[in-house]
Amino acid sequence: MHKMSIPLYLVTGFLGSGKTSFLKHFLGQNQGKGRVAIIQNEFSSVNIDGREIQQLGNYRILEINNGSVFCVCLLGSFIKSLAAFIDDVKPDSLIMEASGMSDPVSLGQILLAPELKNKVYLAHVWSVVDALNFSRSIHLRNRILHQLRIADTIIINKTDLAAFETEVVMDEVRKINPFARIVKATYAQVDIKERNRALNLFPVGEDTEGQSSRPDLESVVIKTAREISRGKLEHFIGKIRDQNIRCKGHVRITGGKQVFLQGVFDDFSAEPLAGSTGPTELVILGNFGRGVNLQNLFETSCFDD
Amino acid sequence: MEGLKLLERAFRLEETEHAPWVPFVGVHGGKLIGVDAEAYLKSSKNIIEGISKAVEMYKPDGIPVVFDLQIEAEILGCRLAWSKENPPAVISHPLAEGVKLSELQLPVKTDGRFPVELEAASRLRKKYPELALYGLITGPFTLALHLMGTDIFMNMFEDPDRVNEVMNFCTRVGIRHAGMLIDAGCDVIAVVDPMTSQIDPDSFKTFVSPSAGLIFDFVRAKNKYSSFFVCGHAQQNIEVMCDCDPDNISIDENIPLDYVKEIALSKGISFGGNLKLTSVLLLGNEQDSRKEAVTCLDLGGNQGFILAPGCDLPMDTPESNLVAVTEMVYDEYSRQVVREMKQSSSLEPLNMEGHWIEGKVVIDVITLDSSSCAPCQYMMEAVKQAASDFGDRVIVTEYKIKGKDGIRMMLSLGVQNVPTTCINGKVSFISQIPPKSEIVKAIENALS
Repeated sequence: MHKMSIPLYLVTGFLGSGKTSFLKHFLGQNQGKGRVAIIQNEFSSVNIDGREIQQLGNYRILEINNGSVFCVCLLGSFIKSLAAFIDDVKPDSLIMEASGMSDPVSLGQILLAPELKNKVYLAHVWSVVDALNFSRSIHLRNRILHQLRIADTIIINKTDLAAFETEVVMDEVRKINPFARIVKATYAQVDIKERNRALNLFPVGEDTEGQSSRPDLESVVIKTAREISRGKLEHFIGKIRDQNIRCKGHVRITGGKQVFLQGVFDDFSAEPLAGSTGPTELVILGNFGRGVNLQNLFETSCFDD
Repeated sequence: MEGLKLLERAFRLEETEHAPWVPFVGVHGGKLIGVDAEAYLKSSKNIIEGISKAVEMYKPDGIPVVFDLQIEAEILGCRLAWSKENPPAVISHPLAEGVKLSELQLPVKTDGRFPVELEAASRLRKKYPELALYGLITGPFTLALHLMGTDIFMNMFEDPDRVNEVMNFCTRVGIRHAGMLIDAGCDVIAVVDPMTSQIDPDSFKTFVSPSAGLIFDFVRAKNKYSSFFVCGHAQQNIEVMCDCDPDNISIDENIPLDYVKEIALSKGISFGGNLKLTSVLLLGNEQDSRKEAVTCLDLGGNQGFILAPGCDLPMDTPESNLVAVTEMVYDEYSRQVVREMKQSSSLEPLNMEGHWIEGKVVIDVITLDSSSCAPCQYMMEAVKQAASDFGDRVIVTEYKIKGKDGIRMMLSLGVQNVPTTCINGKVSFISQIPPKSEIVKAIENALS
């Protein structure tokens, strides 16, 4: 029987921002809507007590041994454990609470591994921001900058404690990622039905979790630090337009500037991003088949003569 | 092998005949000898065996003795969680759990796993006198984070004096560790501070630069070289890293190599990186690795550039991918082939209709160009000479992959390497030039 790939929801955010509250809220809202499994950093300081989760429902948890300091170099062994976990638990969806220092794009990248390809795709990234602490120091803002950039939904949390700061934080966050949905919350209570909206697949509010209408998808993360000309970028997009359902991310354009690229099938927009630097990071959702290596196709289309 | 001399030239920004190659073999050494990460990092014998295997397979110019950023933290009281496929992880932070900074002692060389590391370094020094040995120390900011936990970030804002005190201590630990590694025979001290990617340049200058600068001064006073490793999104800090005055900075795939090259060279500092760890070295194949290596080598150039992965190689990195990178470092022809082959994905195979002739043997030699590539020239000469005995019963054609038809023929015949000789469409001789008698025999077989 053909197996559908499983959506992976990622929750990022600075320590103490409310990731755990959001996770509990998410689980509560998903009761009776398919089997949700949880991926957690075993030694995270904000690790939810297993018993607390079990009170909310019978959840299976995959613990990752990456310690408090999380580095991309340590992701290799995660591939095997996640593949085995999926085979064992057969969840309908996965939610992953990333440690404050992890790089969500690198996490998405490992879903390209043969063991995980066509099994799981990166469906939605929530980033939780502590409204009270965000404006307090540039050190903190810099730390979560990258997580904010890749988020689909940014939750400005603890707004009850930071009435004055909230609007300032909203403005700051919007400057960093003008394309994410930004919502205010207390105790991370937000409408999670919006999670499929970023895919542009389902009408807003319709919850198709665990239903047969769920598309068979994979997510591919493309990374490169090299500059790309707009023309070659368009050439690449043209090549994948039939299989590409949604594409989103930052692209380093010739001259060192960045654009934010997003689109559905072959309908794309590329908006310049002022003051933004860094490598190209694209998340593409679609159905590309086992034999296709999108990173290679990207490099060939964008860099080879 | 004169890797150390080559690296010294790169550190001094002199031109090098090829970019020095420094594969960051950490627990990957365990894979090479069939032991898990814990068994590897706890045994000098295993480390020596793993590194020796890596030296044999990857022909590096330099190599780290041990890649483990938890050695100092463990000695200072951080608890570790060991795993089979990764270096250990720090799971407790003494300064966040009631231990006072004044209670922490500067480590000595008999503490923790220092003896394992130092013994491995001194034995490898004796075994490989011409290889550059990298001794790695945990960068002061990453060590401070190990000791304080994520409190450090709030403390930078709320209690900067406290952070400075901890940083001072971590700097003294780093200098002491660097001294031990130099005494054990290391040539290059790498200050590995990945967590600095989490802070902005002003914080870097305030909290990290004074510490890092002291360590680099110490290494220089010992007449050794230093490198500053960072991984992750640290582009904002490249300039301030260079201003700490190391001999080299080393970065991963998150930072554009051309950007680092420009900044580093303008400040008179060599630079290294940035082979893609996950998507290419771990998950890609040999051809992906060749292309990636050539891309880095072409961007980096032959002045002040060191080819390296951006970080500790994942344990399961296929050996064949690293061997493929090695091939690119040493073989200019192979690099040229890869450059030409980059075009291949946009081309269709040649239509082979009419290519084969009944009663005749068709020999196709795929070359880079026999007029400029010596191995290709010898292959062509050998085949032509062997074929001359058979007159017009044998048709020999050279296909140069510098031209599109050559690449299309290569695709049609399923050829992967250059030069390759195909007899009646079958790949018969790859890269190595066979003796005439073997070619003659192969032609006779094809005729019969």
